[in-house]
Amino acid sequence: MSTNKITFYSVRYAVAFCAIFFFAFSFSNSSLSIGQEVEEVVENKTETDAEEESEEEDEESDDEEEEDDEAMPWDDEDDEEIKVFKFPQSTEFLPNFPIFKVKYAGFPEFKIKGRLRSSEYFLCSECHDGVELKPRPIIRELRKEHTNINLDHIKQEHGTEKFWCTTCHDTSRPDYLVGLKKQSIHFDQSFLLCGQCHSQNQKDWLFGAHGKRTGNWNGERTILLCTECHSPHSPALEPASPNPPPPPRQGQILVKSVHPEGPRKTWDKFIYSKQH
Amino acid sequence: MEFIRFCFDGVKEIFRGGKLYWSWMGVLAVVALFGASAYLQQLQQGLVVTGMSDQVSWGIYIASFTSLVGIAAAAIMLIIPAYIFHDMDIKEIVIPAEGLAIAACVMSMMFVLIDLGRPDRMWHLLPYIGRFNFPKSMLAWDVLVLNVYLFLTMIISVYLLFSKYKGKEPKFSIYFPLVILSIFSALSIHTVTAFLFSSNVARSFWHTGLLAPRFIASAFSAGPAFFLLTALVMRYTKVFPVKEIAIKRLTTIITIALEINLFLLLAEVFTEFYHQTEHSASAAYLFFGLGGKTALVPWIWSSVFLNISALVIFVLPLKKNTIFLALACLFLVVGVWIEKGMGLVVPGFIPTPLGEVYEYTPTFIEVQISMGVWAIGLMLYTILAKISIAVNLERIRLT
Amino acid sequence: MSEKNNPAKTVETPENSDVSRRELFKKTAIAGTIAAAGAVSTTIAASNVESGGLSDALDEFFQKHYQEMSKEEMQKAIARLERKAKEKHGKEIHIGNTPPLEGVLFGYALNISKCKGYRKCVDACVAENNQNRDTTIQYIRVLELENESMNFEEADHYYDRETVPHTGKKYFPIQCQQCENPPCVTACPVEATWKEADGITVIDYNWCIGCRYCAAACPYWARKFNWSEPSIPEEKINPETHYLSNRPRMRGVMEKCTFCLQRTRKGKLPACLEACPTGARVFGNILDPKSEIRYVLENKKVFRLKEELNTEPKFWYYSD
Ligand code: SF4
Ligand code: SF4
Repeated sequence: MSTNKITFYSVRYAVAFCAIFFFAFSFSNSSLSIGQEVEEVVENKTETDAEEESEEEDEESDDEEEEDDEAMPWDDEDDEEIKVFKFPQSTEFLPNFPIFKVKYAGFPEFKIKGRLRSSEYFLCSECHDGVELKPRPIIRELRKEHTNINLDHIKQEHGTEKFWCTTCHDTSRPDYLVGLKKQSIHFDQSFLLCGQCHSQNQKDWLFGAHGKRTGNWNGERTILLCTECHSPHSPALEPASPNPPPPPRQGQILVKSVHPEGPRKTWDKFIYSKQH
Repeated sequence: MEFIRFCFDGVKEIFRGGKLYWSWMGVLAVVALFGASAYLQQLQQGLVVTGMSDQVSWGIYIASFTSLVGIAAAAIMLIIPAYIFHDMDIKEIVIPAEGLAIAACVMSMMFVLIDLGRPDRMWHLLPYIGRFNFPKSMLAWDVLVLNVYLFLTMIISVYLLFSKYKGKEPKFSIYFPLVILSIFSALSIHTVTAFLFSSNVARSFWHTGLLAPRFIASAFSAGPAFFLLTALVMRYTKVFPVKEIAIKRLTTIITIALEINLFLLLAEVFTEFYHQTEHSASAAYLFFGLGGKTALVPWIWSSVFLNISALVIFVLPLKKNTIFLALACLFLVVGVWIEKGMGLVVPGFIPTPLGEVYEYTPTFIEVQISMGVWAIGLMLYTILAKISIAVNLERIRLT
Repeated sequence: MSEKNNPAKTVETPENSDVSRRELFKKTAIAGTIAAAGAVSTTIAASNVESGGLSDALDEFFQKHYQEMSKEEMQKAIARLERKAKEKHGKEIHIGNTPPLEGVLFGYALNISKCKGYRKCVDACVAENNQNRDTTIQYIRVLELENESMNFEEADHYYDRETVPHTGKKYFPIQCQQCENPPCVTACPVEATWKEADGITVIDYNWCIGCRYCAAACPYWARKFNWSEPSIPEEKINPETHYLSNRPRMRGVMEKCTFCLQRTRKGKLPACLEACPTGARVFGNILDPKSEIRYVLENKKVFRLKEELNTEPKFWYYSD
């Protein structure tokens, strides 16, 4: 246990992009339906082998977050590859999955654009096909392809004792997530997973107080999935540089107002007035 | 027919004058031309040539407008004693005072005009032809009452002058209702101008019920002071023998109004500063500066100094000395101009409703244009005063 | 200039030949007024030297209030404005005139615990709404406040940090609050600004006289003035515009945020919302009980700015 903790900090950065092209090729060629995938997975399920390095696939890396300044994922006009799910009714894409029982009745119907980013990366099953590599449910430091995963979500928020990769990633079906009651959850339904703990945020998201709607304010409601904004492994948004401050009007000089003088916090003011 | 002759004689009177008169008019004309050229530049480039910004969107133009409305309204301080109480001494000088009211009215309208971003769309303000947001907008009210007041004052003074010209007593039944109306509209121009500011919930510095009384009080001190100043000049240059008793009356009026004005100002300052709330930030900026920005501090303190020294002169026997009296009047006019203009209009915008302290300093072009307007106004006043004096002294009359 | 002073000329232009007698009287009266004020005609001349014919200039001068124009007049005005915009900006610009949607009252909510002060909304707004890039008009101000304070006077409007959010600070974007009782509308002496049926306060840029009284009256510092002739680089012009919102403006008139009328009346979301990387903004129809905005208003701890002024803003702030 303790060795794990120590080595987490030493092994962080490595390469994870080797299979991008391979994957992108395979993904873009076929309008991939989840149903097919499921079959594959199910086939592979029978043959299981133990392997040294086995981890869950990460869908987003930190590097990717930084690229977002240029183009937002929802800017993507290439709609053909976007799988659209309608909630709460539509389940046709998700055979064999437990249907999420919505705790909060009455939220307006919505659509989700499938995980756009996943197309840039590779499916977990590319490696963890159950034959060569099998996900291992053991708490330890991440290695190889997974070293660049920022595990703040585990380390800072919840703790490795309670929480590990396999809490959310399905060991038996690598391309799926898994709920606390061992229900398989598709990546495009990650809000079901997150909502197990963050139920208030999930509720807000379903009703529209959290998250982001795109395109239109009336008619069909398309919202962004949790993982469009939050890296699941390190969900807090990173600080970023702001756009430039407003300039003064033409022909005038801006003298920044620096006011008021003296302490600004109430407690500082108190201390200040005691001292003087 | 008689009226046409009257007009003709009046116009002739304008072109009659000594060296002093012509050089005075010449100087004014040059300043006015300078102003006009600057205004042309403003027309071509837009209001960007001024020091105004989105933060401080009204500047010296509206400031001058505000104080000039006060001077225009002040004529009633002479009309009331003259025509309600039939004070003969005041009656003699009331028509030049009306001339001042007319000139001030015209000037204040010009200040509004030059402040507009689209003066070519002025016609939108015309009722029926344009779209006049009448009962709701205070600015619409202001436009209306200013025009009514200007019209009334013109009618009254022309009627009175014309009667004098014909050598007849003016008919009480004609001028009295007009005078009463003009008294009310004089009060209303200044009250409405005060409401123009105090109706803005967004600007806590203006949003006070004391604003209208303060406006009236300051107008009734600065207006007569301005007139007294010109009366002293007239007496000094011997164009018109203003009587000592009239000057005394005016001094009394000014002193009382000034005292009231300072009292109201004091009350305002007390309320602002006793519990320095967020709403007193503008006052704090005005008197002491905010966040190290102090552009208006010298203005307001000089105004306070000028007002108080004027008061001192007015209550002391010092006022018997003509020089001191003139000085006090000058102090008062300038003091009130600052208090009501730069000390009221501009700090209302600082800090902005979002708490930003962004300062305003008039640009050279702005000052130039304002001086141009003043020059035109003074020319108008000189002309009107000249005609009325000529009629009063029976230099022109129906023969 | 001299032609313009002549009322007879005015009514003879072919564009005006079909006007009714009353109209004729009106225009003659107006023209007479102009003739009286020489300075006024100078302005027209000055403002129209660059941009085309006399009849266009006259038409623009006599253009009626938006709410008073008939359908044909509107079409003609829009055609002329489009033509002039093309002349000026060198780009085909479409000026739409979508009316307010039935049964819609727009509302906006902003989650201040989500806002991180990136100012993305500010620049997206400028790109969308064709603001003057010279005087750099911005409809949105993002204030940086102490975490425990709501005193705007202590806010920093010009924060320029390496990264935001800064510890101990909160960020507070402010734009037009689309008041239900807009003080700016009562202030305007010529009714150049009014509240539309969908709750958006708009300005007729061809009617505003530029007195800036509304700017003094607005408690949210939302109204911005065109101090100079607007200039926008050709490639930065957004050609999809609406008469009442982001069409090209002229010097000397007021402008303001309209919740992207040109987009929202077509069902799209405002540009600031689309640009917000944190999802802090929620927009919608507050008359629709199923809408997201209604959920926020009914279920969140919501507040409005300066509610004590009885402006009834339709812009709400909330936090998680
Ligand atoms: S916020 Fe200001 S501009 Fe917007 S409607 Fe209210 S008063 Fe008018
Ligand atoms: S600036 Fe324009 S919109 Fe504002 S009050 Fe004046 S005329 Fe009306």
